[in-house]
Order: sequence, then C-alpha cells, then structure tokens
Amino acid sequence: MFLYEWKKLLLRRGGIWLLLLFFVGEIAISVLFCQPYDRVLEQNREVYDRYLSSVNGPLTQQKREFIESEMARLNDVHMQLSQLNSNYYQGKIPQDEYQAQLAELTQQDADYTGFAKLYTQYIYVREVPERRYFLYTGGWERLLTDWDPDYLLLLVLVLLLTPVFCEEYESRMDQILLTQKRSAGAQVLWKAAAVGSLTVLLTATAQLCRVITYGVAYGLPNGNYPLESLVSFGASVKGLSILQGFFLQFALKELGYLYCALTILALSVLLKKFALTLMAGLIALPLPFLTLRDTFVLVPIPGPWALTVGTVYLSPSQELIGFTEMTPLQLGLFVLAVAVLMVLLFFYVWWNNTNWAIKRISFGKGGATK
Amino acid sequence: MKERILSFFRLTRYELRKAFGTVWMAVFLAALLLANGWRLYDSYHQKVAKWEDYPQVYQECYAYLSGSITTDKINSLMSVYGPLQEKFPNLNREYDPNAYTYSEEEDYSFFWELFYEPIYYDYLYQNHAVQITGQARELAVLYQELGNSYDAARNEILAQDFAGRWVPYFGDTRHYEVLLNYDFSSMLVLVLCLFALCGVFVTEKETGMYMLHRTTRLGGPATVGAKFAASAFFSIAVSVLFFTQDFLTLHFLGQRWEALSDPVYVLWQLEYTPLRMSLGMAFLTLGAVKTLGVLCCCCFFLLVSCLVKRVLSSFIISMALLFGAVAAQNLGGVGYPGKWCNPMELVIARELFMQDDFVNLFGHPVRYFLTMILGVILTAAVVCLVILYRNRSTRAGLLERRRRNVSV
Repeated sequence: MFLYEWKKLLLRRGGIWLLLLFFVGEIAISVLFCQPYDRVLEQNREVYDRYLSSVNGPLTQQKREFIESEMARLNDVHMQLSQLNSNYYQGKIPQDEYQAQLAELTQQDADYTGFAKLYTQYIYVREVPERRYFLYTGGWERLLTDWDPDYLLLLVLVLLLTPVFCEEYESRMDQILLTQKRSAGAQVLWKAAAVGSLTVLLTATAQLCRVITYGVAYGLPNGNYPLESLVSFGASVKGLSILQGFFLQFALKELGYLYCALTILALSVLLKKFALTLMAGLIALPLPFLTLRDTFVLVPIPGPWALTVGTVYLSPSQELIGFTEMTPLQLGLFVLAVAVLMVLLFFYVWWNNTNWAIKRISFGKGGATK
Repeated sequence: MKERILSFFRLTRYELRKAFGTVWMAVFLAALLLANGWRLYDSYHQKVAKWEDYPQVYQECYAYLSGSITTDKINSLMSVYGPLQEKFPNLNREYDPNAYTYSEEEDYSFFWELFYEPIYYDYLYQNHAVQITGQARELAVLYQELGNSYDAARNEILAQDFAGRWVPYFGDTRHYEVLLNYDFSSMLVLVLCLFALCGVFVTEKETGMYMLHRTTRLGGPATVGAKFAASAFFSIAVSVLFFTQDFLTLHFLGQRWEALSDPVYVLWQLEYTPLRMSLGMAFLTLGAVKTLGVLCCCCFFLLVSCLVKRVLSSFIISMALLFGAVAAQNLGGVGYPGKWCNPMELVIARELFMQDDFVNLFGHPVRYFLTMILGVILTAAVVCLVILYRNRSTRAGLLERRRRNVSV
C-alpha cells in the first residue's frame, strides 16, 4: 500500500511533472541566484587563498607575527603608492620617474586588498582565538545564512499534498475505503508514510542542490572547525563545529517541512475541498513569512515556520532586534513541544480517516483465533 | 425586456452568493486583510523608524517649515543645517547636549533626510520643469525643420506636460512614498481572486451540472453573463476594499495629509510623470488602473476555469500563469514579448506613470500608459470572447430552440 500511495502521488495525479519542475526550479534558483557572500574577497580569492594556506587553522603566536609583519609591509607599500600619486598630482616628480615607480609599487601592492580581507578575519579571530579559526568562510556563510524558507518547496508541498485526502473526499471514495477491512485502519498510516518520505526526500534534494552549488562555486572546506569561526555565528553558545551546525539546521529543516506536510494533511482533512485546502495552505505556510518579513520573530513559536529556515536556531542573540539564542536544552524542549504538536496533528488526521468499528471487529477476531 | 434584466440580476446575485458568499471566503478575506494591515504597519515603520525617537523635535521643525516654501523658512533651515553641512564629514558622533537629536552627525542626517532634501527638491522643481519645457520646445522646432513630425509632436506634448509645473508647498510625504511603492495588497487581491474564480466554470464541469444548465431557459449565455458579472463585481469589490485599506491605514499612520493636495510630482519617483493632478487624485487613478489590471487577470483565471476539467488543475495553471506574469513584469525590463498583453503591467501601476514616455502609433505619439491600458483591455476582451466561444453550443442551442418556438 505504501508503494501504491507513492504511485498515486506521482503518477496518477501527475505529481511527477510537478517534481520535475521543482528539480529544474531548484537547480535554476541555486545557479542563477548564486551570489558571493563577499564580492571583494572573491575578486581577490587567489591572493587570499595564498595567504590563508599559511595561516589556516587556529591562531598561533607564529601566525600572529606573520600576519602583523605582512600587514606592516603591505601597508607601507600602500602608503608609498598613495604618496607617489599625491606627489605626481602636485607636480613634485616628473612623469617618467612616476611611471617607473608606479609599475614597481603597483606590482607590490597587488596583494593589498586580498590580504586586507585576511587581516579583517584576523581581527575577528584574535578576539576569541580558542573558538575562532582561520578558514575560507564564503561558502559556509552563504549556505548557513539564508534566512528565508524555500518558497518553491513550500508551494510544491501545498500543491502535491492537497489531493492526498481531498481527492478521495471530493469523489466520496473515502466512504468506500473506510468500509474495507484493510484500508479502514491502515490507509492513513500508508498515506502519511508516503507523504513523509516524499517530504524528507524533497527537503534533502533542495538542500543538496545548495550544498553542491556552493561547494562547487566557492568551496566548503574545514567543516570540523568551530561554528564561531563564521562571522555570522561568532557569539553562538552551542559550541558546535561547522558540520555539526550544518547537520543540525538540516535536521530542523526536515522537521519543519514534515510539520508543514502534516499541516497540509490536517487542513485537507478539515476542509475537504481542493480550492479551500490550497488557499488555506498558502495562507498558513508562506504568507506569515511574506507578512512578517523578519524570520527571527517566528523562532519561539512552535509552528512549522521558523523550523523550515533551520539556521535561525543556530544564530547568536541579536540585541538590536530583541532575539535571544536558544540554549541546547531550550532547543531540545522546543523540538519536544513541536513533536507533541505534530503527533496531535497526525492523531487528528488518523482519527478522521479510520473506521473504528471495523478496526475493533478485526481486532476481536484476531484475539478470538488466538 | 425588463423581465430579462431582472432575471439577469437575480442570476448574478445567485452566482455571487454561490461562488463567493461562503464562510471560508469571509475567513480568508479576514486573514488576508489582517496580513495586509500588519505589512502596511511594518512597511511604514521601516520607513520612519530611524527618526521615531525624536517626535518632539520633528513636530516642532515640521510645524514651522511645512506649508508655503518661503525665503524665511529656507534661511531658518540653512542657519541650522548650513554649519553642519560645512563641517561634514568631520562631524562629532558623541552625545552632544546642545544637539537637536543625539549628536552632530545625527542632526545632520535628521535635517538632510527630513527637511533639506525634500524642500530642496520642491524648491528646485520649478527650475527643472522650466529647463525641460525649454529644451522640449527647442527640440520640437528642430525636428519640425528636419521634417521629423513624430518627434516634433512628441516634444511639443512634453513641453505642454512640463509647462507651469511647480511645487509651492512642503509637506510630509513619507507615508505616501510607502503607499506608492506598496504592492503586497495587489498580490493578496490576486491570490484571493485566483481562489475565488478558479472554480467558477470548472465546478459545474466536475459535477456534470453544466449539461443540465444547457437545457434550461437561462442556462446559456445568461448564466455565462451572470458568472462574468458576479466575478467582475467580486474582483472590483475586493480590489477596492484592499486598496482603500492601504490608503486609509497609511493615511492615519502618517497623520499628516497636507501633501494630498500637492501636485503628484511632489514624490521624487514621479518627477517625470505625465500626470498633472493632485496627489490624492493620482492615488485614485493608480487605484483604478490597478483594479483594471486585477480585472484583466481575473479574465485569464476564468479562461483557465473554462478550459480545464478539475478545480485542482485550474488552481495550479492559474497560479503558474500568475507567477509567469509577475516574473515577466519584474524581470522583463523595458520590453519583452507579450508585454502589451500582460495585465501585471497595470497591477504595478506606478511604473506606467513614472516616465513621460510615448509610443509611435502610425506616426502619432500616443502616451505609453494609454497604449498599455488599451493593449491589456484588448487582450482581456479576446479572452472573454474565447470564454464565450467555449460556451457557444449553449447559444446555438438557445437560438435553435427559439427558431423552433420550443419553450423550455
């Protein structure tokens, strides 16, 4: 029955075409809207990488001295270049002398912008050297600082999951199904299993698209370094590594989209009509993001919204907007509350799609045989 | 005839009640109005939040500087702003007890953003308009001599548009700027119309009821007409409701409505607008054009509802069309295939009126916004004809029954 539910979802209702569109859309969004986290750094990536290879990892006294001395040298060259330009514009030196010195100094100064990026990172790292390491952060920052949900996935879930129950309600097939011994109690479980596995798969695919795009375009190195090495998570209190942070936000995303899927199923059971469920799904899921705009407001609410973003639960406290980071214990309790709500939603769907009379009879017969 | 009109009205009322008068429709409408209200509040506060800490200072300065722009007022403003401007960028960031706000730097930003820049724009607009008028007249003469009648006529109209323009008063327009750039309500209206209209024709197909309809006296063109009328009434009512909510919410959040009687070009985004009316009238015009755009979008939703066999397909296809139209309007830029047929061009109405552009129509300069409106209306008319054509058998059946004098 599990495979039959999959077949109904994808083949009978033409969901496969929607999925194909979703995959194409995800790839297109990942590739077309793939903007670098720091454009200047990407323009000077070669120089930055050359210097980074000498200092990669935790900050040591030797690295500190190297960076300070290199900065002093490059700063000196940069000042000389400014002075040269100033002297030339004021007519203090002739053009041939200016050209000769300019070529030499420009060559030496070529590393300045790339190294300045590393120096900015050094200033950040030296504040908390135990938890902040040197690494290339562009790819990870881009991957983990997406504060919006995947609207395309939300839309596909609403469109794909609405017919799961609605189709049978509209054709009144549910009444026939509920008179059958096999489907009276178990059909809802198989439907939920098919919906759950599809949602998990789609969420993983969407995440995979992002990981591959950013991995290929920018690189995602040194995942074992502390999460605080990334500027956006500098004051995080969870003490995770970057990879642990990535997997935590991925797990929260999976939970969030599963919660969304259950919400859509519950709405379809409540409303029973296609158009009503589609509209209610759109109002319940993407609309709060579009209305509030600030995802952080949704973090303490045990709804599916902020969970679909995932990374907001890793984000450190921000006094300016009154956001406080959840400690691991608080996050655990929050996930527990969400799990209870999801169980309640599932129970509502299950209760309304189970013929208890037939279930009791079959149970009684089984017991008698024993 | 009177009886036919009355029965048509009864039919329309019935269609309205059947398709749109449901409890869930009221629930969704309330939810979307609430979301729109919150977003309006949020948009307004994002615009003014920076200076919300100094309401008293702003109130005092505004009370003196608002109204007619006079030399005394400008001198008073410059006596405060001038020294700060001279000192820029070496302004003190630390707390200053003598500052109007918090520090010298904050004072500079405060006066620059809230008073100096808008008054400067208002004050110099007249010179700018005179310059444009003069150049347009010179170009018109030049083109006339060169024998280019289209460009000569275009420049002549441009000169007429900009002649005598000036902004005599200064008023707070920040809330009206938010209103001008606000598109969220249009999207909500379209989503609600999509939900309401996706089932207008297709529901009867799903239940097979449309075959019964065709056998009744009013089941043919009268029913299609009633569906059209009910859908149009619903979409216009919803548009008016949301656009009025936009205007009233921002109007009362801003609490200053002096600028409403100022010319429309008091907003810098409409500096080159072809409109010559007050800001209040301009918002009415923009609202009407937006409503027309929504109405044309609704024609497409009805067409989809007429062509498919399931409500789900109707919803998905209409939504895909809507997204396509929004994407084309956003990403299409100046020109793309099908621009003249895209009703979203009317829904995002401000972009039609931002430039005084013309289209060469058989050698005559026709205003760009007029051609867009005409193009979209023609497209909607074609869509309506296709819907009627899809229901042609009913019309033919009716005529046939009449010819045979069969009373059903």
